[in-house]
Parts: sequence; C-alpha cells; structure tokens
Amino acid sequence: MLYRLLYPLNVGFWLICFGIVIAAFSWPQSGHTQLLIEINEGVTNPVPVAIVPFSSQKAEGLPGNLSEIITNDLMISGQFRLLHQKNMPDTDMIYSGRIGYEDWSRIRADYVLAGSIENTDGTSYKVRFELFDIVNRSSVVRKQMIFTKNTYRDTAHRISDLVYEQITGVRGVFSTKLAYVTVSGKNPKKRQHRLEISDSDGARAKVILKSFEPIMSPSWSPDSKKIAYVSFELGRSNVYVQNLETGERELFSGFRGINGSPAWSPDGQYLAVVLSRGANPDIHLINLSTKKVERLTRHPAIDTEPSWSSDSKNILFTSDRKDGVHIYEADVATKTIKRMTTTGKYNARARYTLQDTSFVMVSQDPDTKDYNIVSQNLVTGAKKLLSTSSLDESPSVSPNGSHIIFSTKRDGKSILVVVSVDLGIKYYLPYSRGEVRDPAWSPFVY
Amino acid sequence: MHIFHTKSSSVFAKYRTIYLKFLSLMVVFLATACTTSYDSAQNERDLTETTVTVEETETEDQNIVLFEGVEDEGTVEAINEQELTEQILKMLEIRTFYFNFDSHAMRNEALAALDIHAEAIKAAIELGENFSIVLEGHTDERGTREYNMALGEKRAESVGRYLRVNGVPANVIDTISYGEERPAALGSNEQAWQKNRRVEIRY
Repeated sequence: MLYRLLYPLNVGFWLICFGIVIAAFSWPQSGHTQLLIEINEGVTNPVPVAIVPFSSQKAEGLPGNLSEIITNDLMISGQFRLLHQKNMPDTDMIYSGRIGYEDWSRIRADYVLAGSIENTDGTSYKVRFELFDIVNRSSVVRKQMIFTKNTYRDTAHRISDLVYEQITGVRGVFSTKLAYVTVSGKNPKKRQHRLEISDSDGARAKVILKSFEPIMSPSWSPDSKKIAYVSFELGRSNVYVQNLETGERELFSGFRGINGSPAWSPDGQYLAVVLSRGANPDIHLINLSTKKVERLTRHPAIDTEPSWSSDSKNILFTSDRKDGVHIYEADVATKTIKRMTTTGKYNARARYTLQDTSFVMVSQDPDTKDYNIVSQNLVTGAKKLLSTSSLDESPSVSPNGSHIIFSTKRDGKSILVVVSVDLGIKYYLPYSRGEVRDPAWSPFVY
Repeated sequence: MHIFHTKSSSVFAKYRTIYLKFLSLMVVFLATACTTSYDSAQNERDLTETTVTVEETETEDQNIVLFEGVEDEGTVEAINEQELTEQILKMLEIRTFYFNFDSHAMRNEALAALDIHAEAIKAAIELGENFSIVLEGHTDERGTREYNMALGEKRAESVGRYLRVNGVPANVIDTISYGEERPAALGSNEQAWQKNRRVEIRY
C-alpha cells in the first residue's frame, strides 16, 4: 500500500510522482474577495462616527479607496454608526487642518476622522490623518503613514485599528488575518479543498493549498508568519507547517496513525499535536527547533484538540475518558490533569479567551441535541451561550478577545459567523463558491 | 435465496484470483464442516439491516467458529457448494460496516461478514500473496472535526482488533481515519448520518 511506504521516503518524490496535490501559491493577488460580509446585529448604542472621504487629489494611480475600507471596517465591527456623507459640514475646511466642532456636534457626531493622501514618488504614497473627539473638542490621533499600491489595504486596516482603539479602549483587529478551509464539488469523494487566508474583512483571499483530499485544522504561529495544518494529500492525515511569506512547506509530523489538531504554543517553542501512532489518540508536544516529541497525555480514551493558555503553561483538551466527552486542562510542566466541564455529555474543542479568564467550546445541549458555542468562566464556571444554530463548531478567538469566529450551517452549507463575546454583534462570512469552515483567527500582525 | 450478482468493483476484480483460490479452499473446507442457511433479506440500500443466520456443526479438529455472536434464527437448510460460494462472495462484497452515534463498538451484524473477510485475508496470505488491507474510519458531521478524527480512528481500530483476534496478522492491517471529512452521503439528517458512521475495508 502506498502510505505504508511513505514514511521512510522522500515526500517530495511522491508529490511529484502522484500529483495528488497541487500547491497553488497564487499571491500576490489583487482584491479578490470570496468571503462576503453580511452584518446581522450591532450594539444597541453605536458610537456615531463621521469619516470624511480622504482627499486624494495628488494621488494618481491609487488602486483603492482608504476611507471606504476604513468605513467598511468600522461598520463590520457593529460598534459604530457611520454618518452619511451628505450630512457632513465643512469638509473643505477639514482638509486644511481645521475643524468646526459646533458644526459636527450639530449633526451628532462623536468622532470625526479626516485625512489626505499624496503621491510622494512614483511608487509610494503618504496618508496624513486625524481623529477628532467632538464631545471633548480635541484632536486625539494625528499621524501619517507611508504605503504602496500593494499595502494600501494594510494601511487602511491600521488606521481602523487606531480609530477603534482610541474610541473603545480595546486594540483593533482589522489588520489581523483569517485562515479557513473552503470546500466545493458535488461528488462527496472528490471535493476540492482549499486552505485560504484573507484579511479580517474577508478581502484579499489567497489560496495557499489546494487538494482533492481533506485539509483541516489551520493553526497560526504566534508571529502570524506560518500556518500549521492537517492535509490528507499523502493518503492520510499529516501535519504540515507552511511559511506564508516564502510559500515553503514542510511535512512536520507524519507518524503512523493520526497526525492532527496542531496548536502553536504562544511562546513559539512547541507545536502540540494529536498522535495515535497506531494505537490511541493522545496529545503530544513537538519541540519546533529540536523536533523532539514529548507525550503530554497517556490514556486509552480519546485525547484531542489541544489549546494553549497565553502563558504557554496549560493546555485545554477534549477527552472521552469519563461520563461522555469533556474538557480537561493539563499542566504542561507537571502533566497533572484537571476536569473542567461537568454538565452535559458533549463538550469539545475548547479555546482559551483573552487573559485565560474563560474558554469557549462546542457543547451539545442535552435537551435539543444542538451543538452550540458556549463560553465558560474558568473561575466561577458560569456559562454563556454564544450561538443558536444546531451544528455550530470550530470556535476561534480574535487576538483582542472581543470576538469569536466559528462555523455554522445555513441552508445545508457551512458558513462562518463572527459574534462579539458580549453578544451585541453578529455577522456572517459566507463563501460564494461552496462551503467554508475551520476558521482560525490570526494573532496580532504588528 | 438470491441469485448472485456479479457486480464486482474493480478492486474486487483485481483480486478475483485470490478470492477464487480462497474460495476453493473455503468451499472444500466448509462443505464438509457446516450446514448453513443464509437469510438474504439484506437489501443493498437498507444499510443497517444485515441479517445473517448460520448453523454450525461440529467436526473433528478442523472446526472454526466463523459466525460468532450471530443469533440463530432457526432456518437450517442444506446447501450445495455453488450456493455456499455465492454466500461467501456476497459476504466479501460487504465492505462497509456501520456504527452507532458516538460509538466505536462494532455491531453484531458486522461480525459474520468480517469473519469471512478474515478468512479471505488469511487464505490470501497463505497463498503467498503480498497482501494488505486498509481500514478507513469515518464519522457523521456532528461533533467537532478533530474529535471525529479520533473517533474514526477508534472505529477503524475496533474492526482491526476483531480481524487480529481472528488471526489476521497485525502487519497487513493499516488504519486511516477520515473523521467527518469524507462523507459517503451529504446532508444533515439521520439517514445521511447513519451512512457516514462507518468503517470501510479497502483491499
């Protein structure tokens, strides 16, 4: 059998020989949006913000509109009410660096963002922008940034991050990325799987791996430069690590049996993986520099879905060792294990939220039998239901802890949903050409 | 008694020689050892209902327990070699074994066909064939993806263990879990889910 022979042999050779997988590195690819945003719910008292279209009279050849991207970012967040352009006063005045606070408070804007772009030389541009606090009558952010045709979106998202942080006090995540798996094709045995990466708003989607064999479980490195994932391209589940800048990829874990559920430790030292090694699925830690494999759990039951605490000291995991499927926490140093969930029969795939104060997981409601996303406070044990469909899964937490992305089924198709932890905000990210699932929110990118 | 249909898969055709060799062994052996009856109520589409009833009679030292755990429904009928061959081939055509929700315990209905598979594999090995099988474990879409990977592995391992207990050497059995990633049927309903909770034997 093919895969019996694989382990000792050069993987690249088989790749070429059998052409099972076509790794398509298709970037740079310009603004090819495949995930669409549908805003569903926002907060009850959104902050009114006016974004004055940036002046760009001296910026010929600019591929996109910065103020539109910023407007879209703030709208998606659900926390702002964007004032309509036609109601805005004295936009000419603001370009000359002055502002009439009264005029803006008359239209009830709490904040105003204005800016101008100019072409500094043939290839680079400079944006100057300023955020005014109308209520307190002061300029709260005043900055300039240099960008190119290839980085204008990054610059727009960075401005959105600054505006968001200034107004809400929480660091923005508009610059962060999403990784997810898309699937299309009607024949269940021959569906096209793609591992994709996009901006947090679904724009600039890039396919980083394509295969007719399943791809699953993307996990970001703490510096957001690499992704570990599971691919069946060699006929069974192996863990790969791919560098997003160079496209270089490595078969990281290809032991006999399952190689799955990769999770990068926040300190960058280990990749936690699930290995069955021809016997039973247990959590293992692979040292990223030495490749030394260390076993974390040893139990005849299923142990899977590791998730690291932010200090890299603890790991949450799923096990069916007692009373159904539950969440456990392992101390990485001592390997002591503590049970975290006690209710229900199915609690799986936990992920710590910010500062490890709580975790989110997939829980089956014992009555309705629905699978929903539930958060649980680590200290009090208090739980909160974060989703309401019947087949919700794969929760991933935004790096600022404010949002959870997960997959759900709508009209029989898997789509992505983002909710804020406080439940005020909800938006959908459907995929136009098929199904999308297994989302992973990147860490901060700068 | 149904008439044997020759709708062999390509893999089946490839290994036909092995099967035929195996069959000649089996037929000679079983014809003297057993009287069997086969309740062919099994419908290809009715995946969960496979009823096989077998009566065994003791012979000297050659006796093997082929149909352990299968309830005897009483119909005893003497059959000829031809019919026996048909039954065995029919059993070998059963390549998919189904499981209950969130369970990796084999259902009793799977055992009769697995016994025949075990004998076929052993016969093939005895005949000096370079032979190996793959057990593919699958789950339905409910529950988390990686948990389902583990569950699929457990299911494949259950079938593997049963084959080993029945004398198949461990080194010819390979297990792969696809979890919920390779559904046999699409759709979010019990019918599709049942079709997806399975282990497939691949020769």
